[in-house]
Amino acid sequence: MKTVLVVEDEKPLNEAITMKLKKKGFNVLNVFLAEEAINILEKQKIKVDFIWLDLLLPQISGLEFLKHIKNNPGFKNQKIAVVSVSGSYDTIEAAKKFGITDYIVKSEYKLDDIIDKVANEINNKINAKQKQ
Amino acid sequence: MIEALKSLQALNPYFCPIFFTGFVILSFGLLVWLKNRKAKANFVFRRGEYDIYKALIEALEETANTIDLGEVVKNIHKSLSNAIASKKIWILLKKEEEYYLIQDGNLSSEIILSSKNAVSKLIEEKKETVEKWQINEETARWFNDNGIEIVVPLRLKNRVLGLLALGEKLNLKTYSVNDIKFLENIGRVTGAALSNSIKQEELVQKEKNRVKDLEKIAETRTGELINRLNELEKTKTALYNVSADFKELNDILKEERDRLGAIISSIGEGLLLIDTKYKILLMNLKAGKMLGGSLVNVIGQDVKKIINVFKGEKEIPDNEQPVEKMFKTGEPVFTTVEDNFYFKGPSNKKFPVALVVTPLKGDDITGAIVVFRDITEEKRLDEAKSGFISIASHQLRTPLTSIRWYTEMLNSEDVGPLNKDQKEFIARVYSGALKLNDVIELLLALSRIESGNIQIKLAKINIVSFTQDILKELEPQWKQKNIEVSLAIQEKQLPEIKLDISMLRQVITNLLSNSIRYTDDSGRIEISIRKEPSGNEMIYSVKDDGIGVPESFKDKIFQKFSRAENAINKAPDGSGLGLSLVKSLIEMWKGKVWFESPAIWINKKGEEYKKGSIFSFTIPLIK
Repeated sequence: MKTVLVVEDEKPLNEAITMKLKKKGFNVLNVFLAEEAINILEKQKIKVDFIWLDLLLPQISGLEFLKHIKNNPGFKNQKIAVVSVSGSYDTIEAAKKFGITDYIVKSEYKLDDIIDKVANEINNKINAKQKQ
Repeated sequence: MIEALKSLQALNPYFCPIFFTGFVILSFGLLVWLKNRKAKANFVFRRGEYDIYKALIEALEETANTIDLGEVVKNIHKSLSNAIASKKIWILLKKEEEYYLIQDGNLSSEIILSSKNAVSKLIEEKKETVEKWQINEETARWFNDNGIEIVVPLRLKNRVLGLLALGEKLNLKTYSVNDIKFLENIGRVTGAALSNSIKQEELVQKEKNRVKDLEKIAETRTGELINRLNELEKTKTALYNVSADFKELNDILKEERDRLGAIISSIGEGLLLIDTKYKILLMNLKAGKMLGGSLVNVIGQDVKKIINVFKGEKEIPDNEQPVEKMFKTGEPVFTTVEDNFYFKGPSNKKFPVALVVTPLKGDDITGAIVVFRDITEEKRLDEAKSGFISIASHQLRTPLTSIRWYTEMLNSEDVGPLNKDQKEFIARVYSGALKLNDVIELLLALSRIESGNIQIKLAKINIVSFTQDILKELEPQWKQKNIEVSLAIQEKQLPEIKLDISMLRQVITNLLSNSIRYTDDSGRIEISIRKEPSGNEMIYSVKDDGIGVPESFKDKIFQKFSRAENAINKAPDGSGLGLSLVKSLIEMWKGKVWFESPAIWINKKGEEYKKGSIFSFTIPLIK
């Protein structure tokens, strides 16, 4: 069972995503703050297959989290999809600099569509690994 | 008369000696002649002939000292009275053809002998003595009336100056030949003596006349002079008035200049006057303050060396400067906060500006008036506004995402089955959420464009397949309304274009969505893409036979939040932002957008009809 770490500060959204991903058969770790995610990844050293990241987070922002985690050699290949309400060019470019898997603008898709996209990306990764 | 002679003497100091000398010579000649005649004389006079002559000459000599005619006559009269034994001795002087008596040196006013009288005629003709008894009765009457017996002409050569008339001769009936001759000689001598005075008188008169003439001339001249002076005075007054007017005009001009100067220096905006070579002609205080640094002697300097113009971060090349643009077109150039212009003066402080560049016109454009203001505060407000819209949009988007997602979850029966009514209600909530989503997306897109916070990513696009993709995405909507959609491409192969994909997508999607929204069921939509004859751009048009744009709304259609009444009735959920966004996006790639309404259609029978509208925009072509 693949593990997905969901970082989303908006409680209803966080819960909806978690519910949907679980339904898809993923193991879901859901947190509301970037600090909690860092705690799971670096302190608890829990390995996750995929990170679902919102950008507009209180305290440490999504971009700062990306910068932090990508600077850690252990997470160099960590697959992360940014799912944000912000679709501004600057933000997308800034996020893409950290080598993210995908940038999804929430308002452009239905929830099920996003879940399908993410599920595909998780599976592609797995498939790619299997191929190796 | 004396007065006149005195003035004559004053006029000519040589006058008297000349006459006097002439007179002495004459007198001497007379004495010699008389001495030779002495023995022959048989006179009835009181004295001896010689004595008489002597007395007469003495009298004349005396008169030689005077040239007063009256005095001369008086003296002659006196001498004759002593010499001649006649009771009446008259000396008549001729004046203007009449003879007047001289009494006590004065000319009487009574005419003694008229020129018409036979006596005077006789004398004038013959220049001889006339005696009372010698002529006819008519003549004798005058003699009798006046008690005159003989009249002798006083003459100088042939000119009769006057008459010597004698009467009541004692003891004699007639005058002897000798007497007459003697009298005639006296007449000649007296005439000569008189002629001097008369001449003088005439000269005096002449001089008088000359003086009079001179006076007249002087008077005329004086008159003329006065007239001239008056004219001069008038001219002077006129000149003074002109001068006063000029002064007044000058004062007005100065006042105007001062006023203008005060206005220019006191206006809150920077003002620059430059000529066509970019030389600064004038700069007001405010402009100097804004640009800062050392601005001494800026007049005459090249404005491009004083001010650097930026658009955002980039410095504008000379040929793209607003002033250059105005010089090229002759039309005023206005820039606003959105144009993102900045000035950097000698102080090196860069500040945002809004400009108005207007031509300075003579017969031709002679320069530019540049009015500019520091819009730092407006810029800050604008950024704050953009930031506000952005934040507000985010704060709206997140809960809206919740609404959408949970509605979706309910609808997909993730938490259990729904009955028909529940499904219907959920569908309505979802539809509202989607529309709200659209509005927020449009608002955010507009705010991004307005803040300039948009990056254009150019990509090669095949416009036909691009359009087909969008049509496919929108298919559920136009299919649902049974709208006939056609894509008309005139050229076999349209050139590839290079634009930002998301921008072009938003433009076409918005125009098509509008057409679908405002067209009735079973209506028509026609997309046409064609190359402009110039080859510089492509024209993309979306034509529909929908509700069209009302005349009253035509100038407001691209304004934010503006919606025509017929559009509101047709689709109450529209935001009024779509066309505003379309225009902003098209202008970002320097394209044009316009519309015509109603559009012209041809029905299946080949008849023309007018309905709906046609929206067109241009896409620049890569050369």
